[in-house]
Amino acid sequence: MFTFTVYDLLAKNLADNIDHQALAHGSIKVSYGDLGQRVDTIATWLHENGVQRGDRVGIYLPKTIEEVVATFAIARIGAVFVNINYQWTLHQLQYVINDCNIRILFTDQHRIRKIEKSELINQLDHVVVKDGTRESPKTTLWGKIPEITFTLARGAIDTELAALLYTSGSTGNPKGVMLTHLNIIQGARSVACYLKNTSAYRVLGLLPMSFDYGLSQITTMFLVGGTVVLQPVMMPAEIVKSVTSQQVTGIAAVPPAWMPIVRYLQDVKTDLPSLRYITNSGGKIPPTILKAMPEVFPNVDIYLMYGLTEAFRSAYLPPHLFHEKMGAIGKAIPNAELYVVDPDKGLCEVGETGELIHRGSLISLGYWNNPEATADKIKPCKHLKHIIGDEKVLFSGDMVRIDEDNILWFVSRTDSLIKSSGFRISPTEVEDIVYESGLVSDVVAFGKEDNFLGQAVQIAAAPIDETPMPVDELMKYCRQNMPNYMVPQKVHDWNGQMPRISSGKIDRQKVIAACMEKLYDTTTD
Amino acid sequence: MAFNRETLLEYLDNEMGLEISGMDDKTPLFSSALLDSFSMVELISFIEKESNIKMSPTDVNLDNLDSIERILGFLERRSQ
Repeated sequence: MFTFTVYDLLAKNLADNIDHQALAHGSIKVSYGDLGQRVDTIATWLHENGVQRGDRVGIYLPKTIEEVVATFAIARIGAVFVNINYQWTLHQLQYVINDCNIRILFTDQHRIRKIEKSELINQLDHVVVKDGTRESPKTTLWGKIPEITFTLARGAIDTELAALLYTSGSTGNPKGVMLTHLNIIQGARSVACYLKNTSAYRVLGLLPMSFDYGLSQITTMFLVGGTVVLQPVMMPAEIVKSVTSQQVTGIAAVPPAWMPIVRYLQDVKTDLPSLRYITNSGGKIPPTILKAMPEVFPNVDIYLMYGLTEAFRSAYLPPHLFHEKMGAIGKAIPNAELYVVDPDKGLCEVGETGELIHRGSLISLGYWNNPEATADKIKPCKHLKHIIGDEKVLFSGDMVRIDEDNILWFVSRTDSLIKSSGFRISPTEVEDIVYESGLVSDVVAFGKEDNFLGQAVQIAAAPIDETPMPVDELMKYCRQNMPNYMVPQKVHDWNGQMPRISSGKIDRQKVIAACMEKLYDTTTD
Repeated sequence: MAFNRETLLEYLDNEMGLEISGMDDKTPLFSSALLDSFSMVELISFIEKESNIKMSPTDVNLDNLDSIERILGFLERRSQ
C-alpha cells in the first residue's frame, strides 16, 4: 500500500501494522486498529450529515485522542480539517469559522457553553461535543454517535486541499494557509528521512495540531508506523514523567517550552535512557540554554530547525554540527532547495545576508480566499530564472546569512510580524482588540527582542481625551479578550497625538523608535 | 495576606478568565487544558507572592496544581 493522502497515513498501518500502538494518553493506549475504527465512526457521521469533499470542518479541542480521530475522519472523506488552537478566544474562533465557512465543529463540554450563548451557534449546523451532557437541536454528544460504519468512497487525491492552518501575517487578521495532502505527506517524508524515524519510535505530542510542527509529530509517526504519546500538560515535571514512563524516544518543542524543561533538568538531574533526539523550531533558543542542552540531554541528538507554515519546514541543523554551529538554522531539508537572495543584486555569496527563498513541493497552495496575499509571497523570483525558470517559490520574509561552510543563520524579519513564544502575531490583531476596549485613541503594537519569548508584545497607547492612561483597566481588557501569548508585556503611555504620515495613518516607525529609545534610556547597562 | 480558597477563586475568576460557576474544587485545571502554560507561569507567581512560598521545579506538577483542592492541599502541606 502506498501513501498518497493524509488518511493513507492511517490506512497503510491498518494494512500491515494494525496492532501497533498509534497513540498513548496517560494509561490509555490506542492501536492503529482501534484508531481506524473510531475514525470510521466519525467519518460515517460526517458523511451522514452532509459533509462533502472540500468542505471545511472545524476542530476546537485540547490535546486528546479525539482531536486526532476528528482530524483523520475529516481527511477520510476528503473534507478539509481546520484545527483551531484551543486557547484561542471565541472571537478568534468566530473569525475562522466565518473566514472559511465552517458549518460543523468538534469541541468539548468546556467550550460549548460559551459557544451556545453566542451568535456563533447560529452560524453552525452541528457541534459535536466531547464529554457533553446536554443535547440540543444543534449539538451532538460524541459519546452517543453510533458505532455503525459504512464503506465510504475514496476521500481525495493528493493535490486536493487537506487542511487550513490559521496563522498571522504582519498586517491584518490571521490567514488560513492551504495545505494539500501532498504538502503534508511530503513534509512527513522529509522529516522522517532526516530524523531517521522508524516504527520503534515514540514521539511526544506536546505541540498543538493547529501548529504545523505539532501536526507533523502525528503525520511523521504514522508514516513510519510509530507511536505518538500525547502530552497535554506543559509542566517540565510531567513531561519528564511521561518520557520515562512512556519510553519516549523524541521530543519536539519550541523555545518557551525548552527553557523551563532544561532548567528543571539542571535542578533535577534525570536519566532519560529512551530518549534519542530532541528538536526545536518556532524561534531561537537563548545561548545559555543551548549550551546547557547537551549537558542535561547527554547522548541525545539535538536538531535545531526552521520553517514557515507556508512551506512547513525549510532547514535543519544536523546534530553533529550542533556544537560547531550552535544556533544556526542549518541547511535545506531533504527534497527542498533554499536560496538566499538580495532583491537588488540577486543570489548572495558566502558572508552575505539576504531573504531566504524556499523551493519545493512543501510550498502550500497559499492563503484561503486571499489571492493577493498569496501572490505576494508565492511567486517566481527573477533572480532565480536562470536556474528554475518561472517556477513559483516562497519568499519567507526572513533575512538569513550564509557562512563559509554553507550553513544558514537567521538574522531578522523583513516586516513587522511579531513572533512571541513561537506564535506569529500581527500588530494589527493586537491593535484592533485594544481599540475595541474604547480606552485609547491611538495605539501601535510592536515586538521587542526578549530572551525568553523571542519577541515580547508591547504597545504604545494614547488615552481618550486628556485623562491619564487607565493601564490596569486596559491590561485587564487585554487579558480577557486576547489569548495569553498576545497580551502586551508593557504599555507605553503616549502623551498627546501620535505623529502621522501623509496618508493620515500613524507613523508607526517613529512611535516605535521613540518607545525603544525610552526603554534603552532607562536601562543601566 | 491569608491565602485561602476565596483568594484563589477570585484570582482564577478575574485574572485567569475561568468560569467559576461551571467548576468545582476537583475540576482539572491543567490536564483539561482549561489553563495553558502561560497561565501556569502566572498562577505560580501569584501563589508564591500571596503565600510567601517558593515553588521548586519539582513542585510544579499535576498532583500539586491540577485543581483548586490540590492547590490548597499543597499549600497546607507546605506551610506545616
